[in-house]
Amino acid sequence: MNDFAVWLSTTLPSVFLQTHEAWMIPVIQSLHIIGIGLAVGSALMMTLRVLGWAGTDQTVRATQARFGPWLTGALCLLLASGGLLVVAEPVRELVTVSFWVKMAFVATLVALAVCFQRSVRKEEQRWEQTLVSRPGVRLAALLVFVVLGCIILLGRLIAYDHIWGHLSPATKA
Amino acid sequence: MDILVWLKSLEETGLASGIRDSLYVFPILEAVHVMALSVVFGTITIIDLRLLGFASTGRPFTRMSSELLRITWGAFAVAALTGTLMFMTNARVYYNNTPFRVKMVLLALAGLNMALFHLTSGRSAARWEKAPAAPGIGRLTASLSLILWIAIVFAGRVIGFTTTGAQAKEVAPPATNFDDFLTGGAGAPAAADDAANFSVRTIMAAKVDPSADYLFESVADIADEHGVTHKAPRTPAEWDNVRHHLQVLADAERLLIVPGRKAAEPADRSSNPAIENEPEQVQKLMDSQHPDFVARAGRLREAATLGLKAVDTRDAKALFGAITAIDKACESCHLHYWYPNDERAHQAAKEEGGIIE
Repeated sequence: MNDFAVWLSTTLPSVFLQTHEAWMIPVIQSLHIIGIGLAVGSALMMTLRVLGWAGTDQTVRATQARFGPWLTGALCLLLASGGLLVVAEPVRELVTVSFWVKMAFVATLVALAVCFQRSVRKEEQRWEQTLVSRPGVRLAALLVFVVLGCIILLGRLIAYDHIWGHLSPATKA
Repeated sequence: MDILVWLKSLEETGLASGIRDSLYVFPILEAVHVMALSVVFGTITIIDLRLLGFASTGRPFTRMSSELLRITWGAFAVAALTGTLMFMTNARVYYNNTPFRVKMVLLALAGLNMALFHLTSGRSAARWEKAPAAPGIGRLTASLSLILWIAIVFAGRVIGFTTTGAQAKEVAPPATNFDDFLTGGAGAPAAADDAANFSVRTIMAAKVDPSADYLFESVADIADEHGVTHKAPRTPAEWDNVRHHLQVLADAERLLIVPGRKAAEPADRSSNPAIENEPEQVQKLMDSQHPDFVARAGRLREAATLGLKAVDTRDAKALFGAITAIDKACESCHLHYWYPNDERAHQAAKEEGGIIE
């Protein structure tokens, strides 16, 4: 991975981003945070609706129809801006334990979102009546808060990967 | 009271220095700040899009706003608290930082914009709340709100990229008379003989440490509140300074290996005898293992010479490698002569591949 990161940092797009890093990196990072805001807002609304803590004047299906596409769009923006950040600073990102653990949480979030959205479209009726009160579903909803929190925490910790001490490949590089 | 005096006292509070001294607190404050602001931004966007008639158009506005704004305000309180704590750690730098000031002005404008909404369309919400969009002034304040909050995010992120310069320590070039004296420079014709009277400790403190510190600062992955930044010399003057300090380290070998060199001055004591050798113990090791000491000093010269070559070719990566080698040369010699009983330092050096026997 180290070699790949070093190789990536010598490719043309990476060099371009590095030579303009003075303003490119803050701009891309800001777009990334905007994306996080949109994703958190949408995920929050759907989760609160499943838990019955907000938006109960709407059905689960209507809530998913309103916020699902926004979550998907926000995740695409995050993937694009995050991808650019990796290309711009491959060694900073790819050689950190924070980045890879964050990716594991992102995969978890995407899996939860895909399962939820598919299931709501397929079994609209069951979601309105029985599924929202199932302990497993409520637990999964609470898990969304934890996963979102961990993604944000680890995303910020990429910049501080040395705090993981010997776990971080960055401190050995 | 002068604002800067007050800000300085803020920086000197136990709370601020506690956050500064901890490896973990500042990153966690930043992360919680991002969590809170993402909730603030996300919920405000949902409200603004509803006002503009872009989304959630079928839901009564007052129901949405009363539900969401509780969450927004709660998250805002968390963001304000974490923001204040981060501000305290470096109050004067942030106070003088333009993006920080811009962000504060934008936050104030966002507050005024919100007040404007509540005084106008917000008052008459009962009349239009079932309509797909708010009246004109409500749509105007919603657009302004979106623009202001996006700008706040940008300004906030830029703060981290613009405060580095203000904090960077000024490193003075080491051209003191004492330095000339030790290196046999311009002002010291008899240096070679007289320099033998200085102890290793004095040479380290006067020459090696300042130059090594300069080099470690000049190419480094700096991890602070701005994230990890890669630093390398940029201007010809910076490269020249690096060359000068590498030269000092390359020359240090010659000074260190002078036969009969004392480890420390007579009055010197170890400041941490629990893990460090006392001067006489260091002396004993140096005397009994002089060839080893000479070899270790030679590694310092070799690493510094590599660095000089890197400067010639303006190769930042090779320079980084050379400076890493300098670090290892220093540390492995210190581990052998100065603090051989420091288990933690041994462990750290082993993990970094820094043990050279």
